Amino acid sequence: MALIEVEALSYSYPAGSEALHELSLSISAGSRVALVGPNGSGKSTLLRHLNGLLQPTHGRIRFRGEALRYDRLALRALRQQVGLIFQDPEDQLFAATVGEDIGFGPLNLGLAPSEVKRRIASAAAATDIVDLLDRPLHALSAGQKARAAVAGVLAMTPTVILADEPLASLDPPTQTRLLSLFDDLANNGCTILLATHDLEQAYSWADCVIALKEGRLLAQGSVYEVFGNAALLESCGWQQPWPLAIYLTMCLPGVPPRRRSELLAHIKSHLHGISHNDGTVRTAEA
Amino acid sequence: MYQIDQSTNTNRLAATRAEHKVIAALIMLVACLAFDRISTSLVALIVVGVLVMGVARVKVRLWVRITSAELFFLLLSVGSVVIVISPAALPQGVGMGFGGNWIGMTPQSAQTAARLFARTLAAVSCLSLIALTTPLHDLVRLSRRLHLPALLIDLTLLTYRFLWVTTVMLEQMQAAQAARLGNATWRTALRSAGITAARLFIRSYQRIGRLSDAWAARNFEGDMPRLEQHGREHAPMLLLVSLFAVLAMTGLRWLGVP
Repeated sequence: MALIEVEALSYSYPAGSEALHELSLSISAGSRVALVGPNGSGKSTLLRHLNGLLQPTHGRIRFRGEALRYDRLALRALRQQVGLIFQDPEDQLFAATVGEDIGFGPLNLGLAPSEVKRRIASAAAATDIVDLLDRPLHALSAGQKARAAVAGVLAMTPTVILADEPLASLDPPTQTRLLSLFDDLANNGCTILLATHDLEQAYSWADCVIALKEGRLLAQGSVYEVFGNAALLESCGWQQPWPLAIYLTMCLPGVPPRRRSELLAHIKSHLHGISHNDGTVRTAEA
Repeated sequence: MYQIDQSTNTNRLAATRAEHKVIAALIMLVACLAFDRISTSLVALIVVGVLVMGVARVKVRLWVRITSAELFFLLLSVGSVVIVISPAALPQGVGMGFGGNWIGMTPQSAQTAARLFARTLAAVSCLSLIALTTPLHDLVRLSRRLHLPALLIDLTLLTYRFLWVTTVMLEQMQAAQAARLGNATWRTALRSAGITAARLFIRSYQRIGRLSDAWAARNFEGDMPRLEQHGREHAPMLLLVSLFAVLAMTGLRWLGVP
């Protein structure tokens, strides 16, 4: 059974613009899902629906088979399970220090101070910001703020994490660090829904992909199904992720590589196989 | 603002309990006001100076700037006290006739002004002990322990946070304007400033909306939760120093030093 099911979801903002139109999709428990789409495609609006911040104009959302309710207690239970990391950490961080901000969610859950402190320590350790706990938020770098924002959500121990382009504007090492953290969480059974513009990143990291455009669902499926669909990519003006593009162009055998290192290993072993049959290829390999 | 905030978070008394700093500062402040002598004010000024610059290692320039921030207003007040206007010639001191009156300075007015100057400067320096060595979150924790109204504390916290967020927004907008010759002439600078003011309000408003969403996403229901953080260092040294200063002031008064 799907963990989250979205059925014919439509949403219009009070100003009248329709952000989502008849959107239907499902998300399995424990999966790594990349939510891709251009600006204005409805990624943030969808994530806010899944956290209960927005209510559908039409359609409905099911979590663990039950339709979402929007009363105080139901939302409290939902948000304990489904954490939302905002695109700009400045929108999320507000307390005087990092430690206080991480403790905000657990305290709202009514946990005992000892448990709150334990969760602060645990979330800070997971995001590698233990030494920043007493630091004021404005004294943090962009990468540290991003990690503090993630820690604030982790401290609520959600089973689903919705991340709204958390990697945008971060340097590559920090991006790798956060993706690795998401990997660890997914390996521990957490479902991660990561909104991103970066198709290469989505291809290398996700199990499956949801593609949106102008509030409509373009495609949902495995990374191979979505990124292997040349017509779909062309209609959106997207480039095929290059490990897959090279794999398909070279007609390499085996499972398509996801990362640069896998592709290089693939090519190397392929060339090595050819070289045993025809010694002239050795020149090309060199 | 940056320098003060950096100082409060990096000085050597930053980890000391806020209560100790506040009590020490208040003891000396009250003693200053009660004794009201130049000598006792000087004692407070010196003791606080040693604590702030010597113990906490706050930069001398910053302390002087903070302590002298009100110098302009202080000199205005002192000026009005030291200058005496009298219809008759001044029996003591110096003066000159001006439009049928005598304007001048008497030994009493000079002494009163000097006392006022020293007392005000010392009182401000006592408060600088708190302002330059105590991080805001420690003051917030102290306010909570003192059971000040929660609304007041939350507002203080949010104002502090938004001061920084708004400052960053302002700097970004000013840089963007300057990069496109927004400050090339006084006319364009004035126009840019107007646009900045209007946009800053709108952007702050939008950010408040997004912050409100972020709170809701973490189950905020109207009450800002509180968590007593780990204990800070006790510093009886501060209290002892302030009591020593009060003793010295009492001694000076007993000896009749002005």
